[in-house]
This record gives sequence, C-alpha cells and structure tokens, in this order.
Amino acid sequence: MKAGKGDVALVYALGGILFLITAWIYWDYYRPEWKGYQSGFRAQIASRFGEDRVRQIPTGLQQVWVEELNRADRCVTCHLGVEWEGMENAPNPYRTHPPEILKTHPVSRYGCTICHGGEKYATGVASAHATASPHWEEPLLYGELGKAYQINERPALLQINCNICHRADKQTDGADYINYAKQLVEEKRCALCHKINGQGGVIGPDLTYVGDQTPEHFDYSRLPGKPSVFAWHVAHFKNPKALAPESTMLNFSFGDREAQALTMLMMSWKRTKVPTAYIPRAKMANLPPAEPQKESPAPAGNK
Amino acid sequence: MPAEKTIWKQLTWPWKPESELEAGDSIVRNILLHWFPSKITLPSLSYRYSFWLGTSSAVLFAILTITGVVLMFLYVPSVERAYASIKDIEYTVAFGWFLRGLHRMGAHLMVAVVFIHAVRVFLTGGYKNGMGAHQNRPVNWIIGVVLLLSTLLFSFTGYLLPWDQLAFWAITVGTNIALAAPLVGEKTRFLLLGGNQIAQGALLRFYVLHCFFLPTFVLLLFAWHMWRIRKDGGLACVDQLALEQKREKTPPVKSKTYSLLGIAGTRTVHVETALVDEDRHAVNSSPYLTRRLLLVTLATLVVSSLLTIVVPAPLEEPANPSVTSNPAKAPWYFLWLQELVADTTVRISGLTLNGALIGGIIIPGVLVGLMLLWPYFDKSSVRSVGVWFSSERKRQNLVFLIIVVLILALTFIGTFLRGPYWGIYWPWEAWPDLPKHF
Repeated sequence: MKAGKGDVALVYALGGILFLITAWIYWDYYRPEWKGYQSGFRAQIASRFGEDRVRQIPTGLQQVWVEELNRADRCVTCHLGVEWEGMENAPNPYRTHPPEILKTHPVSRYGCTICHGGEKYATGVASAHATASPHWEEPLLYGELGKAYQINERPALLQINCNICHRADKQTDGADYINYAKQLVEEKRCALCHKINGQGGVIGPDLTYVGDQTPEHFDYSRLPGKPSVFAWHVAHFKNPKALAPESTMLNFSFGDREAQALTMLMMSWKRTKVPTAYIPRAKMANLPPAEPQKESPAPAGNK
Repeated sequence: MPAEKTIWKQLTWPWKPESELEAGDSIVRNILLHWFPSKITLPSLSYRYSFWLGTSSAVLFAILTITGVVLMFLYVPSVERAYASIKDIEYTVAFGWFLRGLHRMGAHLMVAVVFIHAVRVFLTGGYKNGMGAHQNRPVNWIIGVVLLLSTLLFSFTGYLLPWDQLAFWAITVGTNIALAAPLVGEKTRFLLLGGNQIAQGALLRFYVLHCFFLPTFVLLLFAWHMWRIRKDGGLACVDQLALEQKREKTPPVKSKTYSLLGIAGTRTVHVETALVDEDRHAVNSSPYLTRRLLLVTLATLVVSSLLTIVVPAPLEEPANPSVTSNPAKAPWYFLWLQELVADTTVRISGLTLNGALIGGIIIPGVLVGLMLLWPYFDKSSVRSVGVWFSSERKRQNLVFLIIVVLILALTFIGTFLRGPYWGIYWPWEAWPDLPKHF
C-alpha cells in the first residue's frame, strides 16, 4: 500500500534522533562546568596534603544558605578552598580567603555575594560572575572590574558593599576608599547643599539613597565611552558642568582617587536590605544620623 | 483476541494487525484510539493536504501538559519566590533547564502551529460543509478559532510567571492594550490583574488561569473539536473524494450505520460517511493512521527538543516596576498588535492620539469577528470543500493571505527590527550600549 511507504523507516530514524538527543542531555548533565573545578580542587589537595584529605572534600553542588540575608550562595561549589588552611598561594578558584576578615564575617553567617556581588543562584563561571551578563545588576566586584575603571587598588570596588552595613561608621577597617570619601564629605561640607540621612541643604539632590538610582536615571549624552553609573559619577565629580551644564554643583577639582572614592560612597548609599543584627554599632560618625534610626513617638492611647 | 498472545503482542497489535478484523478491533476496542475511524482515506493521511498541523499541536499540548505538571512541583507563584524558583530550575534542578526550555519552546511552537493550522483550514476551505448529511463544519471552525485565541491566552498567562523584566514588561504592554477598549477596558484589565498593578494578585490569577482554567477549557474544546470532525465525516478532503467519485459515475456506496462498539444491536451511533468507496480510497487506520500519528508525535518531539537545546530560554533581571525595559516588547505573537499600536499612534504638535484603540482593539476585534463568521459569508460551491486554493475562492484566499502576510510582516518588524526607544535597527546594526551600574 502506497500510504505507509517509508513511514516505518522514518519512525526508526526519528526514534534514533530522539534517542541521541536524550543521550546528549544525559551526557551534558554529567559534565557541568563546576565538576571540572571540583576535580581540580581534589587534585590540588591530593598533591599538597595527600589522598586522606581528599575524602574531606564535599562533592556535588554546594551552597551557603543564610536565611537572614535571604541568600543561597553557590560560589562555594567551585571556590572550595575558601576556608581551607594552606591554600593561600593556590590559584583561584581554590585560594584560601584572607582569614582576618572571615573572623568577623564568617562565611556561614554572611555567605559570599553580600560582599563580593555576583549572581548568587548561578553555577557557571560566566553567569555567576555576571561580569558580561546583561541580566544581572550586581556583577562580581573583582579586580578586573577595578582595572577597567583604572582604580589603583584594584579590588577596592568591594568596599561599596562593605558600606551597606557599615554606613554609619566614621571609619571602617580595610575600607580605605570609603573612609577617604567620608572624610571628603565632611571636609567639603557636602551637607550644605545636599540632604544626607535626612539632614542638610536642599540646593542639590538628596543623596541619602542615591545608590538606589537605576542606570536609566542618568543622562549619558555628554559622557564619553560606555554608559555606566560608576563612570557617570566619576566624570561628574571631576567636572559637574561637563556632564550636566545646568548643574549648580561646584567644581572641587577632584583627582582620580577622590572621584573614585566618592563614587563608591555614592553607590553604597542604598536602602539597607540587611537585618539590624548585621549593622555594626555606629562609632558615631559626624554625619547626621540615618533617618530610620529616629525613634518615632509612640502613638497616643497605646500605653 | 486469542488468549495465547503475549503481552508484547497485546501492546503492539494496534500497530501490527494480522487481519482485517484485528485492524478494525485495534481501533474500536482501544480506549486511546477509539475516537479514530477504523478506516481512513488516503487524502486524509497525506502530508500534502493537512501537513498534520492539528495533530502536531495536540502533541505540543501533551508535551506542555507533562512538562508543565513537573514545573508545578518546582515553581512558586509568589512575587518573592517566583524568580528565584526559576533560577533554581535553571541552575540546580536536574534537567531543569531542559524542562523549562521545552515548556517554553513548546508554547511558542504551539502558537505558531495552531495559527498555521488555521491558515491551512482557511486556504483549503476546510470549514465548509460538503456531501455528508448533518455536517456542521462552520461550528468546528468557530471552536478552532476559540482554541487559537485560548492558545494565545495560554501562552500570554505563562509569559508572566518567571517574574523577570521580560515577563513584567511584556504583560504591562499586553494588558495596557486591553485598557484602550472602550467602557470595559479598565474593568477587564482590573479583572485580569486582580488590581490596578501587576503584582501578587496578577501573578496568582495568571498562574491559576494558566495551570487550571485554560488547560481544562482547551481540553474540553479539543474533545469537541475532534468529535465534530468525526460527526462531519472526517477532514474536508474526503468530501472532495466523494465528489470525484460521483463524477466518475461509479455505482453508489451504501451509507453505513455503526453500532456502538458492536455491542448494542440497535442503531445507536450514526456516523455519516461521505459515501467514499473504501476499497479504493481508504486503508485500515491500524497501522496506517496509528503509525503516522506516532511519526508526527516523534517529529514534533524531535523538533521541539532540538530547538530547546539550540535556543536557550532567556531570564532577565527580576521584575522591577520602576525600571522599564528598553525596548519593552509584548510576547512575539502580540508584537504585530504592538507594532500596529505604535504605527497608529499619531503625534500632532504635542497632542498624542493613542493608537491602542485602533491598533489594539478595533483592528484585531474586527479580524477575529470576521474570522468567526466567515464560513457563513463564504458562498462558494461544494467543489471548493477541502481543496487547496480553489479557483472559486480565489479572491477570499488572496485577501486572507494578504492579511496573514501583513500580520507576519508586522510581527517580524516588532520582533527583529525594533530596538531601544522602539527605533528600527537592521539585524546587522548593533544596538546602542544601554547603561549599566558598572
């Protein structure tokens, strides 16, 4: 009969293709990117400390779940050496995290991305670091990014995230750029024109949560190069009128370091999304106190 | 069936009948196949007439149901958790990326296949009654149009669920078009969103529509659609066959009355055949129809799986009502509407005439209305039933094709040529750098 000519062969052919697709999907499942890094780490440990220690290495997807911060950071799937002693000189992603900071900021309580940025959910290098990803707003604040912005102390961008919790500190250990910027804010008396933490002048815009402003908020028409909030702030600090001719802001002739430090401070002034337990006790900076800390009077009749 | 048959034999007999009786039985006595005729005409089996698009869309619906049910175990329909649960499906659930990708690709394909199916039925005059008694193909056409609209709504409600920027702004564009409808626009949008904004209420409504109401509705309509095909004597091409037979002046064939599963002795179920000489023009459904069903199922699975692997499913930033995506685009199958809205929006020195009413409501409304009623306007003769590009229907086919091409062209422009600020960018032109934090 003509009708079925070739149907049987086609069924087998399509069935074969479907089998191959299934086989490929399975094969792909058993060779994720992170498995390569995990076996690399095991090899490192074996060569340094012997096979016995290898058995202590967890396998499979790893994550640090910090309920208070609503974060499940999967960075430790590849960065297995973060809390290992003796991996200080190992290549990344296996290197030991500088231990000093971990004493006060243990991984189990903070995770990774709250300080470093990056895509917490992701399990691949490109997506996790989110440096080239168009769809993640908090890229990894690592040295390469600092290099791109010509920051002398390359990993300094990380300090933006320090100041999310340390906002009220006058000085924060290890956050040189942020400390410098806070000093500049005091010296140059920014609060004469700008409202910061609810107090200050009204000539310039309120800076209390300036870090929350989205990239679309700024006018990049006079900014050379790729448009970014960071680049806009740096250029604006160096010469306000060059970016916004109608701006009444004074030109303080800030150099690179000043402009970069102030930009980091601006980008760190965001609405805090961390529980109060994570906010260090303020060492009484000379800045006006942050608004949310004001005690509101108890409503009448509620005693 | 003889008792000595092995289990394997019992499983395969619909595909390998050993006698005419077994071939007939394998259809009638099988719960999965009993809604098919036991004999099928050669034109109905051919690819050239139907391209098997209806079958393919049913297979896609099955794929979507299966992947969708699994996804329901993994997805959380809350604004706090939805996005994160999709990220988990992508990154940590075993085969999660494929599950989500296949569901997404299946949905896109289903919209396309159902649309092409409707185009095929129109161009072949498949909605017209032919030779058989008690035919009512126009009703089945209307059911088909409602199925097409349901498919669009199905896909549209699913679009919001990932709760990323793509989802949020596509639904914003889509529901804002509804806002332009006079009198009922605002109420409709409110009803759909469970409020004035796209928030938790909207997410939950879309979820329930997507996972319960629409599947049930489509399944019921699908059953009705299939039942009507049987009542109408099969595909319209069968009527053409009967007509040719009549012209050949072959001796008349007796009309048949099948009794229900051969159990009841009296006349119970009447299946009006179009008086086709089955010996010459028909073959046993088992194995010819069943095998081809399997073939189309496999082909649909292969195509959708391959596309899933080649085209990754996008997931943008979490939904943010205060940052508009640039460009903000409706789902692709509504982009011809968005394009129409944009093109019919007129700005005269500061005064803006919004095109949403014309482009978003009136034009698609008229088109859907015409589509529903067309079988009753089409006065062509029985010679145009089930024939590709019948000369009698030349003018209506031409107008229909022009509308289809216009819709496709507008969809193409909206999908591939529109860039930031709704400007035109050719595929080889790079879009300008959009600002980022770093």
